[in-house]
Amino acid sequence: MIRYTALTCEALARPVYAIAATVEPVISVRLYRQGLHNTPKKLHRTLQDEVDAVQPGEAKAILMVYGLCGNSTVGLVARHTPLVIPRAHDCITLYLGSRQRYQTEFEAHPGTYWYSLDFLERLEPGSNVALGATDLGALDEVYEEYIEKYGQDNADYLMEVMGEWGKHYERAAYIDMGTGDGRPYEQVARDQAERRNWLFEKKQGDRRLLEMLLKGDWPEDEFLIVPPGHTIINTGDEMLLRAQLVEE
Amino acid sequence: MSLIAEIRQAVIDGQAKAVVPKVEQALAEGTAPDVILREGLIDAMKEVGRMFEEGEYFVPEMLIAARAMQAALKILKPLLVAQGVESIGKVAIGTVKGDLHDIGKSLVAMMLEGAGFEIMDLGVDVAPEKFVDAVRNGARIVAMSALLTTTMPNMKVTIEALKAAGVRDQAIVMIGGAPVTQTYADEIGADGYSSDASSAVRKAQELLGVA
Repeated sequence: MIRYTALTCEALARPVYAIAATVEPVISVRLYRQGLHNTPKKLHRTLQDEVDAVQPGEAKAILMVYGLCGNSTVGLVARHTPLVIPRAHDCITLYLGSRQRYQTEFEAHPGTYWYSLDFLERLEPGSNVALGATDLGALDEVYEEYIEKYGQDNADYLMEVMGEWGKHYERAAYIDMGTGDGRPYEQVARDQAERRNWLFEKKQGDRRLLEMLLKGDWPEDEFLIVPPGHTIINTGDEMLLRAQLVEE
Repeated sequence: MSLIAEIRQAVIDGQAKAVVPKVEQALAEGTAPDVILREGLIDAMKEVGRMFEEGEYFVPEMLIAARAMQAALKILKPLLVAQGVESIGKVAIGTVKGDLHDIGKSLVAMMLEGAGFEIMDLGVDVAPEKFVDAVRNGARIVAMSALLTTTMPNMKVTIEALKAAGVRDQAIVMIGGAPVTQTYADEIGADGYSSDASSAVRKAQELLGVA
């Protein structure tokens, strides 16, 4: 019987559990807090500690249910057990089923805020509602502070400059993965779109890539297998990742 | 405090409104524009960069200081041109194709301007051809920014475009942004990398040999 250990971001919990329940290999799913990509070094440390904690022979491979995630996975080292990681920037690729599809979406609307049930239902109070983004709402809160510190004139200027990139955003996309009742969360995305005057789109998620990962179907153009003693490098090209032998 | 020192301090404090009349007064009193530029503005931005590196200043303070510097520079620019003062080099700066984030890029642009560089700000979502055109139009430095790992590969694409157009050796390429590292700069053949706006200025000066 094949056993895998899947180090999983909470933002993908439901689809990963759903798939793990039906595939042939026995998957040990371990969940980690979402939003750790905002502190890539912390996420990196967490993941390396978890990789190191897997005992020899415990799993045939350690599956990373992550992408680059702000380069958090770059530099992870496989010890005795190989790591397998999808060639993905982040969870959006995993939700959409392929990096080609994400690329197409990205090229059509670079300024997109993405929303999903898993992400929203696990949201900690005070954090941003869109996946992996900086909260524009947070700016409103610092405005008063800026007036006090730098004066009205400068505060207005800072709001203009720091909110500028937000003006380039134009779309809210809710991804439906087909697990759980997403309606209230879809509404959150719709409300955001209305408030910011963005286009709203609902996208059907695709479990394809997650299924391949958990089943053990890892074609080289979509997954990187990191052999023992190797580390993950960001290639900065369309393949995203490569493995490199760790120099002792 | 001398008028020049007051200008310098007003820039450091980010007082755009206060700095403008002071510059006008200094000019009216016969101070040369390039002296105001050097001792008032450039020196002030150097101090701002130092304070940022020391952790005394953060991005908002840098932004308002740069804004005050730009307000003063707007008055001085035509006079400097008339006086025949040349910039130390033209920098074409932009966020790479597909990337819409401009705070970091704009901050680097303003800090470079504050150090005496001439800035061609190409904006955000800049196609490789635009960087190529900028080099053809005399840019000695190409400075690229990316905030996303999704868009970072376009730095490499841009360098390839510069090579294909036969202008790669006419310009120095600098890169920066959250996911960017020195390793990546080496991998794609960029000439320089810096982790923040202040060290970007030093890097540009170093690469152009004007430090």
